[in-house]
Amino acid sequence: MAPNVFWKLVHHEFHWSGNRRKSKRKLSGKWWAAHIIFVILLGFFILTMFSGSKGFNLQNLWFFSLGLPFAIFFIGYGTVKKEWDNETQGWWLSLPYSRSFITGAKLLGSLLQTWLVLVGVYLLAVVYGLYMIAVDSHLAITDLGAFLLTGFAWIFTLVIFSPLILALGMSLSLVVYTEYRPVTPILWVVYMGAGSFFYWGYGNVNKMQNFYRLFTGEVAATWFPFPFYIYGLAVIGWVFTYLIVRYLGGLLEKKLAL
Amino acid sequence: MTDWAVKGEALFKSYGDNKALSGLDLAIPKNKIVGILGPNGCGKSTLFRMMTGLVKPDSGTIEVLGKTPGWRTNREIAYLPDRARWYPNHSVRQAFQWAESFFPGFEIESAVKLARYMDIDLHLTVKGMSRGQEARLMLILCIARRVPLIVLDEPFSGIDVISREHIIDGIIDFIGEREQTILISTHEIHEIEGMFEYVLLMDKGKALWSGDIEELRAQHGSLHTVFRSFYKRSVITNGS
Repeated sequence: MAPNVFWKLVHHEFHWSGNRRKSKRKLSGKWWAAHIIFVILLGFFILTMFSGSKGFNLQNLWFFSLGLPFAIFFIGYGTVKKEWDNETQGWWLSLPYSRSFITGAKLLGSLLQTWLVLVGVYLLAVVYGLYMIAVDSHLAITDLGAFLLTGFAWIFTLVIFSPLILALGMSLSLVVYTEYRPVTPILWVVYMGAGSFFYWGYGNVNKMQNFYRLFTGEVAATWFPFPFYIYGLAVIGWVFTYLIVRYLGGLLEKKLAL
Repeated sequence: MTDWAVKGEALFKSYGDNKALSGLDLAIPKNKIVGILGPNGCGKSTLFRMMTGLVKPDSGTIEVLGKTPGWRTNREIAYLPDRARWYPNHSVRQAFQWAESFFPGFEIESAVKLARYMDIDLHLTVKGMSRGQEARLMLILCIARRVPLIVLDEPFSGIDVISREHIIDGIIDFIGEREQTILISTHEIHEIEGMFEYVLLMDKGKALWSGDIEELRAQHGSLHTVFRSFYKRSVITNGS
């Protein structure tokens, strides 16, 4: 299969943001931007008020990002669902390329979107950190360093786990359109349960190196504060991601229910 | 080389209790404009999805251009899916560029020519289009492909009657010189009747009649009369 076509497909998936069903009840692009700017400014204002309180620690702010893995999951979920929302699934599925090929392009397109979002979150944190240092005399440059280092470790962990999280999101969305549709409610419970277990379980299993202790500032921030098996798990996750994409391709090939 | 564009034997397909195809036999000759006609739910769209490898038959065999349908055979098929829409953020020009990248045999110059003929502005964005304009765009995306088989599932729905006749005339002119098989399912038989060379009449997942339209007309009169006589039983059943 021509690699050129694959990258063009990835480019299409990366840039394609329209959703016909959602746009019927949502705001125009300009109003969306206005809402986002308003929320960011409001966030800055509230957090500035917060910072005056006793015992404020910049690193605590990363607790606000604990929902990011779920957000990544729903980027994966949405990248498939929007084909059906936009009623373009017939074009997508009848492309003259293997189903693993088109599913793989979708995963890669949404992976690039996810990484862009994560970089955006980190840059926002950099801006906020610099702002806080400027306005709060209690904060030192070392606090900013710890805040950004903690954020880097967390965002980097999300970056390396995001292929697997996206693939799981895509699988939940795709199964609905196959003969295995009745399994969907069970998958929802399993995936959401696994996500919650990860948060709850990881904090308990590893009491020394976990993101709760890191976000509270109880452990010193470093570039790689988590145990090394976490990074090993991420590599295993990439293998699983590949297998999931192949499996989803097979499902679309043999079990599609239109 | 096979003389058939599509050949199927004893095709069955069910969705739960609903039987979409119930032992359909068909043999569609090459290089003809073919009408696949029948009432709603008679299995036309399922047949088209089967031809493009989107669904597999529960039993029976189907060959498209001498091969088992799948993503590989879709290189040679231009398929307009049932109830399809186009990507809302694309302009007409972007849609053509997209098609040029991913649809083998897509000729962008022909598409631009057809867009001009069908009065579609290249800068228009899909989300700002009427359903009729979007239907024309999707029709162009299929017609502008130089492939042996074009499969159009309800291509004229959403296009007003006046434009429809104009578009059909344009299509006839455009494809007149080409060696292509064109399958069209439609309810708009009044305007399109003159376009068909071959007809497959379906009901309840089976073929009622298939053959050259001249033969059909000689036996039963116009397509309107054919519909009334072939589907009389269904009408009575539905009406009772």
